[in-house]
Amino acid sequence: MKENEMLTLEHVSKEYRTGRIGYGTLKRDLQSWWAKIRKKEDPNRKLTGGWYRKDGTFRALDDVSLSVERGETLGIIGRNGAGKSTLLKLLSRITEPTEGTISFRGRIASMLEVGTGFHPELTGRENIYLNGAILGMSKAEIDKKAADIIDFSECADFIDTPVKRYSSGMLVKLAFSVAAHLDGEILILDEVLAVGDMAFQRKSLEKMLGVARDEGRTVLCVSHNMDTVRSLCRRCIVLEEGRKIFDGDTEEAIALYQALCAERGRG
Amino acid sequence: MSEEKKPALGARDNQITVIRPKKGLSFPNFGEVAAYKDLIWLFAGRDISVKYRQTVLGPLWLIIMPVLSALVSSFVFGGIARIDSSGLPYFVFYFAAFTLWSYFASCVTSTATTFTSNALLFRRVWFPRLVLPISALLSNLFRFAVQFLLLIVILLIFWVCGTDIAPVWGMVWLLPLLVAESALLAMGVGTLLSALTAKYRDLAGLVPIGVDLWKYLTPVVYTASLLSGGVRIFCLINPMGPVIEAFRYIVLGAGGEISVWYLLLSLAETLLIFFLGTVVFHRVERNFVDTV
Repeated sequence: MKENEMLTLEHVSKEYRTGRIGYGTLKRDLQSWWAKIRKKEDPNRKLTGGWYRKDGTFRALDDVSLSVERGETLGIIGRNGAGKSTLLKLLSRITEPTEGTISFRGRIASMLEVGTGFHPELTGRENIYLNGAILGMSKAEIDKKAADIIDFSECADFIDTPVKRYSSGMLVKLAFSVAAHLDGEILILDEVLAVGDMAFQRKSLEKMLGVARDEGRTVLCVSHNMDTVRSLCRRCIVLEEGRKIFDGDTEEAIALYQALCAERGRG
Repeated sequence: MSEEKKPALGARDNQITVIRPKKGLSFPNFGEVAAYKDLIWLFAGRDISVKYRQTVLGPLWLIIMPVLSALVSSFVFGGIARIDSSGLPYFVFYFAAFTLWSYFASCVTSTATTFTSNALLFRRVWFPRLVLPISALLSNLFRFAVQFLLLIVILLIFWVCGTDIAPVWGMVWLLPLLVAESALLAMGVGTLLSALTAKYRDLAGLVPIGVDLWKYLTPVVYTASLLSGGVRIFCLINPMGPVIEAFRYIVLGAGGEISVWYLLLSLAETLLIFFLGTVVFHRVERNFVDTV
């Protein structure tokens, strides 16, 4: 890894098997395993042949290489199923790549799916601590930021009420505030700016802009909202069918993406 | 590496993480788990506090449950089946063993479904998954501590009322070790089971039944000295057997025995199961989200 690089991907691929994984019952798994040991054909695979493609695999991400420097804000765009979410899953370590190497400096703070790990019986404050820790903060770090988080969430009056009594809007705002105050050197934003009402959305976007511009953090941003991408990112990559087909200026990337979308619309 | 880092962020800048596909089996990274110690405590605290919210009796349940269980067992095994309780009141005889057993059993059952009951969380955020079994050990340890205090109170009451209870004071140092071994074994068995229930969901329903069955293969409602020959050996080869026997013997001064060889064997089995459990758990955690 070079000195100024925060994140590199080298020939990263992720393969999924199509159809069913395993046979669901112990008996069939044992049959398959026994057949494999005797180097015989798998009796279950033969039976269920229709569920598999020729080799039964599908590449959600295919040989992607990428390098992101310190302080850079990279946009990742592409159509549905292009591999954006898979890429973020690999980066946030939720699943392992099938091939290739991912290296990064410091911590990756992922804002994938805001609000996971909220427990309905716990109060807002307790959930801030739990959620922060799930996302990788230490208790001392959360102590320092708790006041800011509560303030940003606009839920101060209800912070000691169990979150099961919150409105859905309050829940999302609280969750976003926790994630927005994460301390990772690399920050992943996935379509999360679309929470709350318009005022809160604007506030969130400003917060994110501030993080990216002023704090010198590295940000990866996935969005279908081109205005968000434009205002946050100077550089963009375009994914299509698991491959990286463009890497460079945001405006060009958006033009390419829009052409791709139009093409599908016609076809 | 240069030193001109942003002051606020520089601390962890030099720490490079490399992710590449792993082949075969490997041991989980316990250093990484330790870095999440705050999360371990928060999960443990959540387990304890959430359980008793909006219940009328609240934490009193911690006391009611074991006492009820001991009363029922005294009636069935002491009163009807008349199992020899080594000269002690059956209630005390059972309660001492049950205190440690219920710690073990609750750790196993709460760990056995780690993957299936947290699938939603696992699909969205990464953290070392071993955090959850470890926090289960801790939250159950809290319950164990409460029940152990209750045991002491019960012993005092019986002692004041004239029952001859003489703890083996010279061996008391062994008690925390026995608890620790139960915890390790429970984590090993629990992680092994959680890897299995991740794939075969129906096994989750069998876990409580299996644990119950295990209780009767372990000298909880009886003592190993009532057995002879192969049955006795079987009962003591069971890693929990000698642990429960020793625990009861130390606490009550009777109703069990300390057999060094069986204890060592049990320790070896525990370490083996712990090793196996964590390795298999780690194998499953790496790609679990792709299979749910």
